Amino acid sequence: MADGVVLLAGYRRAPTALALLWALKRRVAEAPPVKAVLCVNEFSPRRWRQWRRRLGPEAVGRVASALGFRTATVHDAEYATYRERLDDWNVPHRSLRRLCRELDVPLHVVPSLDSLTALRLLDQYGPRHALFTGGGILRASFLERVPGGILNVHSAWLPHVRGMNAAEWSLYYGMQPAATVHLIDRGIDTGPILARRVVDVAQGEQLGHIRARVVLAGLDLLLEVLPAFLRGEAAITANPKEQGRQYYAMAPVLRGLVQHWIDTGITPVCSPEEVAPDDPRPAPMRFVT
Amino acid sequence: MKRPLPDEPVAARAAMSERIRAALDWLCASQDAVAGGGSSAYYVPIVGWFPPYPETTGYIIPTLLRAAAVYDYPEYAVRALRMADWLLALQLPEGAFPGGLYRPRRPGRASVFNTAQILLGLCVMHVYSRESRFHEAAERAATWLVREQDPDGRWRKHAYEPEFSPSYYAHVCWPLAVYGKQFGDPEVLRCVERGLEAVLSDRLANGAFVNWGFRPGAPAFTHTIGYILQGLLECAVALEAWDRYGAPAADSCARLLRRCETQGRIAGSYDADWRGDLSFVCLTGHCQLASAWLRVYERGGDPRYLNVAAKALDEVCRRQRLRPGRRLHGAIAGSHPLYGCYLTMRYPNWAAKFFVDAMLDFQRRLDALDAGGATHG
Repeated sequence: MADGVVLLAGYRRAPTALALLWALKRRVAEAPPVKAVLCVNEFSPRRWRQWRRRLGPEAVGRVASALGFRTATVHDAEYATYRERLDDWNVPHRSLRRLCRELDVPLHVVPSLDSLTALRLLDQYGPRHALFTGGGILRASFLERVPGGILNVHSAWLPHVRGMNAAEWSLYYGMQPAATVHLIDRGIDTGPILARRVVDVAQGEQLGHIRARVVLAGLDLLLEVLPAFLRGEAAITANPKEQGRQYYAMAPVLRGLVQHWIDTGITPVCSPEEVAPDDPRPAPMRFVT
Repeated sequence: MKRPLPDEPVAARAAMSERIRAALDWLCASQDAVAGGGSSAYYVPIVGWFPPYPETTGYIIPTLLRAAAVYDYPEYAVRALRMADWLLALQLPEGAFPGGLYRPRRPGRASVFNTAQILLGLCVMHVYSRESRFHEAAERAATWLVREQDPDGRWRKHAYEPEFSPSYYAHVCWPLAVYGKQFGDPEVLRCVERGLEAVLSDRLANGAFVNWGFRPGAPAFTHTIGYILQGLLECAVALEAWDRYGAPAADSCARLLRRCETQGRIAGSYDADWRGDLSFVCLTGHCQLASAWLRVYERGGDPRYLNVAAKALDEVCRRQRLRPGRRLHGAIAGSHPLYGCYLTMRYPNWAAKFFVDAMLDFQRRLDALDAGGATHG
C-alpha cells in the first residue's frame, strides 16, 4: 500500500481520470498515494490515428466533445454526464494539468503508454499498482513494470462482453449493462475480476448517457474495492479467456437500432448472470416491453 | 453528397432504399446506353459508356429480378429479360459464352468464368420465366463447363491467364451448384465438388488462399477475395454442406473481420500474409465481403459480422455518387479514390450490382432483427 499507484489517462481532459484523481486525493479515506499521472498526448499523430481507427468518421466530433467543445453528436450526452459528476464532487478543474498542479501530483504527458518515455517513468516511480482510465492497449513491457497489477473499469459484465462499445453490445443482447473492475493482463479484458455491478436502464435514455453512467458506476466500484485489493483481501473471480467474445466499435446503424429499442420502451431486464457467456443467439428475444 | 447512413432506424431505412434505387437506376442507364439489351461494362468520365459486358450482364439478372420483387417494380424484371435474351444470342456453338467486352467485329473467345456467371443469370431467369430456352442455354453452358474441367477439379483452359486456375473459381462452382440443384443434375454436382475441393486445397493455414488474385502470386483485390468467400459460402448453402465448404470460408471471414476491425478499415487488396494495401479501397470488394459476412451472420447469429458488414456498406454509401438527374447518379466507382488500383477512373456496372445485392441482404437482416426485438417484447 505504501508503494502508491500511478494513474493512467488517455487525454488531458479525461473526465474519469479527473474524477478518480480527485477521489483518491480528497474523497477516499484509505486511498493509496498517487505517485504520478501518465497521460497520453492526444495531439500526437499516433494518437489521432488511434482515434480515427476506433471511432471512424465520428472521431473529430467525439474528440472535440471530449476536449470540451460543444458538438452536435450524440456523445454530448456522455460527456455531459461526466461533467455532472465532476460538478457534484466539486472537482475544481477540468484539465489534468491544473488539477495535478493543485493536488501536487506530477503529471507526465507521454506519446503513448508503450513509449520508452512512459517505461522510463515507470522505472523511476516504481509503482506497485496502476489505475487505468484510458490510453490504449498495454504491452507486456508495461505490464511487467507494475508487479501488483493494473486495475481497469470495463463497461460490461465480464466475461460476457469484451472489447469496445461494451455497454451498447450488452444492450443489443438484451442484457442489463454492467461495470466490471478487473486486472489488466495481456489479453483484451481477460484479466481476473474484482467486482461487477449491474446498471439499470430507463426508457428513452440516451446511449451516451447510459455508457457514462456505467463507467461512473465502475469508478465508484473501483474506489470501493481498491482498499481491500491493496490490502490483499479482495475476492478475485476467474475471467476465463475462452468464454465471451471480443466486440468492436458498433456501427452507427446498429447503435441507432439499439437506441430505437430503448426509445420505444424495449428495455433490458435480463441480468447478465442469467445469460451463458457463449450463447450465440441471446439477442432481442430477451427484451421485454 | 458524401454522407453516411443515418443512425436513426427509420431514416436509415429510407436512406438505404434511396441508395439502392439510385444504383438500380444507374444499372438501367447502363443498359440503355448500349444497343442490344446488355449492360455497359463501365462508365468512364469524359470518355463515356463502354460496350456491354456479357459476364456481368449475366449476374446482374438475379439482382434485377430480386429488386423487382422487393420493390414490386416489374420494369426491372422486363430489363432482366432483355438482358437474358441478349445473352442467348451470344452463346457459342459449344455452349460457352465469350469473355471480355462485347465487340461485334471482334467476338470474344470462350471463357470459363464468364460462362459460369451467365449461367447463374440463366438459371434465375428460368425460375422467373419458366421458358425452356433459358433451361436449354443453361444446360449447354453447364455441360461445357463440366467438359472443360480437369480431373483434379481445376479449369486451366479458357482462363484469363493461360493455364492459371485461380482460387476465385469458387465463383464458377456456385452457378454450377445452383444449376445442379435446380435441375437435379448429379454430374454437375460432382463437378462442383471437385471444383470446391481444388479451391480448398489452395487454402493456407492463415485463412488466405494461394493464387487468389488475377495473376499467379499477385495480391488479391477484395473483389476476388469476395468471389472466393461468396462462392464457397453459397455452395455450402446450396449443397447443404456447411462443415465442408462453409466453415473454412467462415473462418477466413472471421480472420478478415478481425483484421479489418483492428486496422479500422478494409484494405483494397491483400497478399497471402494478409498484408493489406491501404492506399485505396476496392468498393466492389467491400460489397462482396459485406454479403459474405452477412451470410456468416445469418448462419451463426454472431452480430460482429452484421456490424462489420454495416461498416463496409456505410463506407460504400459514402462513396456512391448521388446527384439526381446527372449521369453518374447512383454509380459506384471501382476504387476509392477514383485513381485507386482497381478499375482506375471507372464506374463498373458490377460495383452497383454487388452494392444492391449487399444492401438488400443487409436491409433484410436489419428488418428481421428489429421485428424480432419488437415481436418478442
